[in-house]
Amino acid sequence: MSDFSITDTYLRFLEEDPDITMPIAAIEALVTLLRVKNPKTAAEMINTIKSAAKDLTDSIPNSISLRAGCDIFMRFVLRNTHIYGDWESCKQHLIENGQLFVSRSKMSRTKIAQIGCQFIADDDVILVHGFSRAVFSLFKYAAEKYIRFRVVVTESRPTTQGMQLYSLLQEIGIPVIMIVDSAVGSVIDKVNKVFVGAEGVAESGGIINLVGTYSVGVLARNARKPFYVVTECHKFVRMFPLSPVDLSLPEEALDFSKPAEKPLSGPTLDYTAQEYITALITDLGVLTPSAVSEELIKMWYD
Amino acid sequence: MSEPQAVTKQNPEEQDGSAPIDSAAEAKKLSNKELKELKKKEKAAKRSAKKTESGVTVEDQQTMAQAKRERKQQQREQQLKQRKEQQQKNSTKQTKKYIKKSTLFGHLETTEERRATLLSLTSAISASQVSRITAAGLMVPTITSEPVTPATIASSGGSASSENSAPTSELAKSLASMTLDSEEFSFVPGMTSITPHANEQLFASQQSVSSIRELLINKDLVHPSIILLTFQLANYKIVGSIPRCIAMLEAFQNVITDYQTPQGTTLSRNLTHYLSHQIDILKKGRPLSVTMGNAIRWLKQEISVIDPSMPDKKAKQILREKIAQFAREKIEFADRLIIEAGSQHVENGSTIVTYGSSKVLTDLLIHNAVELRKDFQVIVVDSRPLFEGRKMADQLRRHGVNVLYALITSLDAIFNMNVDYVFLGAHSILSNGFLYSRVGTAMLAMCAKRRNIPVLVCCESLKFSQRVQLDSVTLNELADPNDLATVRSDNCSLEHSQKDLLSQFIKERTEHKKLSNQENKPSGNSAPSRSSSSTPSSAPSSTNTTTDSNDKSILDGWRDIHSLNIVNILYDLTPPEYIKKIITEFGSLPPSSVPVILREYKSLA
Amino acid sequence: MSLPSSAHSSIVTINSSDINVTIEHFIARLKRHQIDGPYAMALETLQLLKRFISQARWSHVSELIEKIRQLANRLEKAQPTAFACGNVIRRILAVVRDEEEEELRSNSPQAASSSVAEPMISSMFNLLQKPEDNQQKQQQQQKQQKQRSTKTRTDFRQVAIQGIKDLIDEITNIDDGIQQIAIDLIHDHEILLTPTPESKTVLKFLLKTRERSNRRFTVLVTEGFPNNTAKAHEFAKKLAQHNIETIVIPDSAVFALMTRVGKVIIGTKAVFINGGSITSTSGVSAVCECAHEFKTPVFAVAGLYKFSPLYPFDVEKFVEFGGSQKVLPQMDPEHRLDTLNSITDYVPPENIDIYITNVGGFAPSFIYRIAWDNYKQVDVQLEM
Repeated sequence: MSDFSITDTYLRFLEEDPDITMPIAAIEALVTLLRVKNPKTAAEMINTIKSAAKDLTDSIPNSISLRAGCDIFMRFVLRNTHIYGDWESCKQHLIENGQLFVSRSKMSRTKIAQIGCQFIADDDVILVHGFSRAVFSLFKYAAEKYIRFRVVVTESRPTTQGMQLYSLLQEIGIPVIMIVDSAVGSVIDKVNKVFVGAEGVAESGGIINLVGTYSVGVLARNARKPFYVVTECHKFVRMFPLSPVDLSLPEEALDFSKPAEKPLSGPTLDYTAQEYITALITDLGVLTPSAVSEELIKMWYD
Repeated sequence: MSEPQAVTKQNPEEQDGSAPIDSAAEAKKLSNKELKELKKKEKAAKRSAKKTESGVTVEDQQTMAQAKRERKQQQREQQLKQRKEQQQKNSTKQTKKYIKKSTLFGHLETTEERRATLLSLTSAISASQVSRITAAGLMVPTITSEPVTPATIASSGGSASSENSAPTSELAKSLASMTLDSEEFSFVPGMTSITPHANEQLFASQQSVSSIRELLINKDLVHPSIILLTFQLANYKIVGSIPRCIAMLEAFQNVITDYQTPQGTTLSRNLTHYLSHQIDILKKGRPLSVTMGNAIRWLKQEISVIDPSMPDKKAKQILREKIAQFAREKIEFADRLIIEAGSQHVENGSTIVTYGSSKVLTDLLIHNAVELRKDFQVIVVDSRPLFEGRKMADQLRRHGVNVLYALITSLDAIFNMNVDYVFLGAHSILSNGFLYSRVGTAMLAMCAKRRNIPVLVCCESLKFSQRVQLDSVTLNELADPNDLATVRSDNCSLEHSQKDLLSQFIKERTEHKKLSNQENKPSGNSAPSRSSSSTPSSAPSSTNTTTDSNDKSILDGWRDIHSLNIVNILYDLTPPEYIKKIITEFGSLPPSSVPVILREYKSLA
Repeated sequence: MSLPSSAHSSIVTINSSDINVTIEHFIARLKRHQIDGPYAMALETLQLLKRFISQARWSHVSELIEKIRQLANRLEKAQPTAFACGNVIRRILAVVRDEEEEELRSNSPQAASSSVAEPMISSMFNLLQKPEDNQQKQQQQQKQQKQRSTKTRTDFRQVAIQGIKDLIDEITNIDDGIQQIAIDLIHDHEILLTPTPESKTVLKFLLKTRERSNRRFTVLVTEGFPNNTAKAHEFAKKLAQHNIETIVIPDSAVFALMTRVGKVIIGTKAVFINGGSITSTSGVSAVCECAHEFKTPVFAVAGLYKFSPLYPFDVEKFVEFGGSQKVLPQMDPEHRLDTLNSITDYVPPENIDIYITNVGGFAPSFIYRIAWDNYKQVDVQLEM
């Protein structure tokens, strides 16, 4: 049994199901872990999960989103074992219903789409930065509801997410244009609203997302365009970055001392503070950034 | 008749006296005698303070003192009476004696003050042409025709020696003293009573009295076309800084035509002096606009460079031509250049927001719609009480422009309508880049700026001012607060103010009638003091009913509510950061370049 | 499930045609804007609801809820901007639902154990919740259906009517609550500006502050031309008569005077969960924007009943527009002008610094919580 690798399991889940999000994959991996290890005591179970979660977050470079999943899982187990003492049934429940969580997470996207649909009006021009399944499912839902809107997609460097979203939207017949990331400033006056997804939502209500989201947020605020974050609530994560600097991994830091191996370097994620966010569209409803904090507080202190 | 009064007076007097005693007694018990002496001193101090306050000069204080000495016998009771009246007034009616001045804009001249000055001036001017000066005052024809007038004059003239407290008589007294001082003054008591509150306030400050005196001395020098213009300006018949400037230049052309250089001086030296008398009068109608100031400065410069040896006729000819040329260059041609430059921003299918009314903007938009055949929408934003935008909206509509008319309270809805540009006119642009324009402009510019909509200002360089100013409160122009007292949505400032004056005048006349009737009947000392007490008490009721039933509004009689004020300012300042571009005849420039143009302009002029 | 109940309700309406006439009348008045202000609107709605409930018949509480929802939906459809109606009805709904839950819990001790813990758990745990929940719910529903035949123990009519009485009490005493909190927000010799002269809450608040704290302050009152000028003058006069230094200013002078203003006070018509609000005077939005630009604090006074659980997705739908008569009384018939006359105004949350309510002062970002304390999420959407 020692050959079980939480990281591999996690990666396998991500690979197998393109629709799965990182926090859900992490939860699934932890569920699998429980099934494989089948701990005998409450303490053992907690320790196993703890160490596995640590292994997982350490081994994956972009760990913010999966950390949210680990946090929820951990918290859920702790609550059930400590407060109600029925750890056995809890374990049983978790092991048995792994697939249920996945389907629920997909359900939550539909719910988001239903809620978020109200934010899209006829003749809207919507700017999207990065690729988010939640945003895409929202668009799809809105298009099915015969709302006529147009989308401007950024190229979303350094990933090719923009291209991905572009072709997906074209497939379902939504008028779409792709622009380079640096062109956001020149088109921002012509768009009505901005939608982005999120890797994680920090306690302040700010979001961690693909690099460039911050600049889009600043530009949107400057142009007084609403900036909506579309995200599932299991991406709320207990961290409080003060600025994008707090996120960057050591290898992404601006380092002038080493000779550059490749011409392009720098962070791949950034942090957009809550003052740039108009509202978060989640499966819990439309939240103001401050409501995120409340949800997290409710989860961690009771 | 006076006896019961005297009895009742005793009580309040005592009560009143006891109040200070109570407080004083705690520290030290004073004897009755000491108290009385104290009170006497107090009274004397109060009287003298009051005198200086009301602008009575030292000389006539002396003459009054003489008159007082003669009447010393009946002092006791009389003084008590007066004292009581004073107290009454102090407690309740004091406020009515002064013009309402808002705490925020106390430093600015109110329309009432202006109107009062103007009235006293014109009454003097017109009177001098019709009737002769008497020592106590004189009559304009309208008043002489009234049978009551002699009595009125007698009462007000006579009151100079007998009454201290009645506001009207005090006024008359100060006026009378002025006529005594210099034979050249002429004042009409009946006339001045039209705006007693205003005049009273006016005469309270030595400064304004002397300024009026000065104006009166020079009244013969004032040209009739200037007087006409002054009235047109004061009644807002001519509005807008450019039309005002043009009207002034035209009037100056007339003035120069009629000008004769006096013996022993030259035109280049004397004409400037002569003009400054005209300008002094103009200022009384309404504060000069920046354009007028700039034009005047230029004109004086032009006069000063005229060769003294040049014959008058030729010099006047040259000046008139120069004025015409100035108007053409600085306004007409400048407007044409501005329209040319501004047209690039009027695009097909665009929506343009403007505020109030601007001549050059109207021309610009009509030019684009008619000659350039562009199809665009204009949103004219307007505000109370002037509703200038209606004129502009009508003009545009008549030329087939698609116009939407809205009020400034709908700003939010306006800017939800995909606005492309905001075009603004200007009264003036200050040296620090601030736009000084019709009140409300700043809010519009702010809203536009916050929505990233470019704000463009069309403005002739004639409107550039050397002045710097930081906020709209420090220097501004106050309009008539009565314009805001009604709820009507049509422009009523003109008729209203005139009606107001007229009705007040009628009230005053009837009061005088009553007063003189009373005077005719009883004889003795009690009469003037009684009538004096009746004057202030009936004043509030008169203002209460000034505007009659056809538009009775809630704020009628707002002057009587002590803590209620209405502020009606005409301009506000728009900070340069809200303004994207200023379009002038020198091209388009950022607000920061205003001082650059000013330097250039100076060298040109 | 809704089918039988609606069918049932139609029978009921035939029986009680009397109440239906009253409702129709009320709706007609709503449509014609004949009810002045949200305060009167809320109280009248409650009175109507009280009659409605006392005459309604139901076999199970869910039917009652359904009926109330239908009523609310009717009112809301008749006048989408009469927020106060929907708000108070939703609050009564919440009261009834709470009572229903309470009863369920006491009925089934098994369900009680789980449902006691439930409110404590963050909704984020939904994801990992035991699937039994669904079964439980089905069980509950089955139970409910069983209970339908059996008589319910709680008298829901009594509960609802008591709820209405409490709410009426709360609404009529709102000003006291607000005054107590807000009194310390004004200092001596402060200059205040209020762009909402129609608000009685603002008026009472100012009068009380002057009376109680004996602080001298100056109030600038904008005219709210063209729709509220008479009210503004009345307002100014009343303040002045109570010895408060009052200055009436035209709407255009706000920017010019904002440098001198210490605080801006606004009254509201409705407050949304994002912290934005609708005001019954136009021009308030621009005034608040101006205040924001000058960093002048803006505080809004609002009774709890003005809090709406709606999110202003489409602001333009909520802002009302009036006729041209007041904007432009005379028009050249050959060259007609389009006019714009907004009656209400939407103030976004970023331009309001604080809300003073009868239950305390809150930042706009926290309004969502106050709303959710009083409403049930299921009742936000009344349409079926």
